[in-house]
Amino acid sequence: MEYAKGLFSRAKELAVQTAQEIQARAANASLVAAGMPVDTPGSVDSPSGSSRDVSGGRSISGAGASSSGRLGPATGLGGSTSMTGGIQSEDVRLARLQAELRGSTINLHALKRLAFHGIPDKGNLRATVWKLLLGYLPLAPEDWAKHCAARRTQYHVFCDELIVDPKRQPDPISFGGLGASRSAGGGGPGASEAAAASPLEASTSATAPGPGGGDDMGPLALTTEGSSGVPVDDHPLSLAQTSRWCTYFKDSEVMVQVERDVMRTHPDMHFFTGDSPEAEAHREDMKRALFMYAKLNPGLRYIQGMNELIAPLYYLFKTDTQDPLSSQYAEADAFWCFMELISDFRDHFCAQLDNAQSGIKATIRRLMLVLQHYDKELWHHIEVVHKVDPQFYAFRWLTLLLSQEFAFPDTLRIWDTILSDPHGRMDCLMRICTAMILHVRPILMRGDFTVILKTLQRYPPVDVNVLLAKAASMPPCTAILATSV
Amino acid sequence: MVLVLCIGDLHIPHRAPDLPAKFKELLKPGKIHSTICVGNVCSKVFLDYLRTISGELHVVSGDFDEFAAPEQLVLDIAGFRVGVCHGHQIVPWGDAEAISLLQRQMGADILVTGNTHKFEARKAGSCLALNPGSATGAFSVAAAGTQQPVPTPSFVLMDLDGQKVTVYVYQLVDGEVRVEKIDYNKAA
Repeated sequence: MEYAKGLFSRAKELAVQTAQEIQARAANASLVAAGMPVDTPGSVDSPSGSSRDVSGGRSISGAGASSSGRLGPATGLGGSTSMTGGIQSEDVRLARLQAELRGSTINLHALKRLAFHGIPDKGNLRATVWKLLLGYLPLAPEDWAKHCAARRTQYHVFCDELIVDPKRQPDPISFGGLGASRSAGGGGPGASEAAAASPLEASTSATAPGPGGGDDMGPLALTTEGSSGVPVDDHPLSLAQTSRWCTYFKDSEVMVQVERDVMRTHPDMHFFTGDSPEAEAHREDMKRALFMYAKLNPGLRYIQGMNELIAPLYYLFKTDTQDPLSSQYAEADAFWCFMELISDFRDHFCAQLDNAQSGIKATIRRLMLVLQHYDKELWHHIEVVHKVDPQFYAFRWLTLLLSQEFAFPDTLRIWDTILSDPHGRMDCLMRICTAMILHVRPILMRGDFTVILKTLQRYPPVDVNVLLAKAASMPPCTAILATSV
Repeated sequence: MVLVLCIGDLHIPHRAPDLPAKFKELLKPGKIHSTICVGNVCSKVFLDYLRTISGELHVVSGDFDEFAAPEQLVLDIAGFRVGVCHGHQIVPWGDAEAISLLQRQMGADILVTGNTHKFEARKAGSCLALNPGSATGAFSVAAAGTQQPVPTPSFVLMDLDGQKVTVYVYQLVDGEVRVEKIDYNKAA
């Protein structure tokens, strides 16, 4: 019975796909008539066909392969050639994305190919697709709820443990005072809350525990005869490393830095700025997430600019209407996705690695090499003749993933491509930067230092799809760099 | 969570050269929100040092001070009315009843006085009477002839949080800093 049901649902999926193929083919035919490059739908769907988890086995996938064979030359997987062009109507792309997300297992490769040309704004799929591309959601949709719940809980546990409140009593288990009555398995949040409630009760009763010494469990109420203080090890002026107060003050310094940056994030968007309670809440969430990252990565801590990387993620997840929980837990989701996103570009933020091979200076140098490869004259004009140090413009482009160069919706579109590029995010970013420089060639060639700098630092308005198409048409940077070295 | 430092009766340079080194190490800028000095700093130069510890300094005049300052102060810090007076005006010196009188006059929740060079924290009714003692352990006429003629250097840090005051007493005992904590609830 299950087998039959599986076959039936599989057949339905194929039928939908076939209908889309035909539609796409018709669209392509008109494009071919107009003389533009086309996408080959067959190559996109055949991998998804073979990886569907069904009990039908080879006969079904055989049918899938043959159906794609009927429609057109099934070009192989991989290769950047199938990524070029792909100007299909938005509805078609939306339908295909939705179909892709409905399967019992999602093919990441196929999803990337679909997302590469931009995720349509209409279907409100971007948040989900980005979570998949960043590896936050597993590839089987039925596991999503469980997985998300686990990660979100983990984030909140981190918050509880790492955000130090010096007033709250430490875990009673370690002090042995009240530990006996609490369950030994109680985690951080539960036990410490119970402990925090107890001193206020104990202050009036005579059963305040503690044989004195370092046990500051129950602060005694002030007696009328005189000062009966409880000796404590931890106090606000403490300079000891283990002191909660000391940690609290150090954290406050990080928080101040984070707050300064978060206040300045996207001042033109009501979502982030303004006095409304929603904007305040959004800023608090982002602050907390960035602070958690700083605490969990003591080597890197918080660097100015990280707020720009988390802002689009948080915005997207908060405004996601697909899944009600997604908006509620936007902070936790954004935190995990931000961790994943920044892992590729971590070294750009580390000041000590500036001169290392993975640091920002090296990346800028590589960018210049790539530019040289494509347009030696332009490179010469910029860097040698007018001595425009690439750090003046490329630094911000590369560290902030172009989030400051374009309008917010355009940034989201660019990140669609960066996140789904098969050659890696860094590579894609470099190609887009090269495309940006090449695009304004006429202005740069005619200009001097001031004009070049102004153009590249305040990039003129452009349709990002043009830039992305150019970037997509380039071979991966690693290939170019290998030949030029 | 506002941290307020209460310090006084230093008698620098007459009776003591400087704050104990261990105290100076603790009093680094950046953590304390405001300072209350109960008087008898004596040296104006040292007053400037006290100003560097936190953003605000509130000082009252003691009987040996070399600068002009008000006799009494009533401050509003974090929702608490804090009264400050040196204490040499309160006769008899250190008398609980007389101090309560002053407290009622000022309408203060917390009254900080000095002069006796002896740390005290006393709850009188719903009010708190604090004496930070002498931060340098300077000689005191009041203390001479009693059980403890040489005062222990001490100062007080108050943590004002909503309805709760946590008083941290820092004392220099045998060359080591000893910290004690006392809690006080305003509503209680």
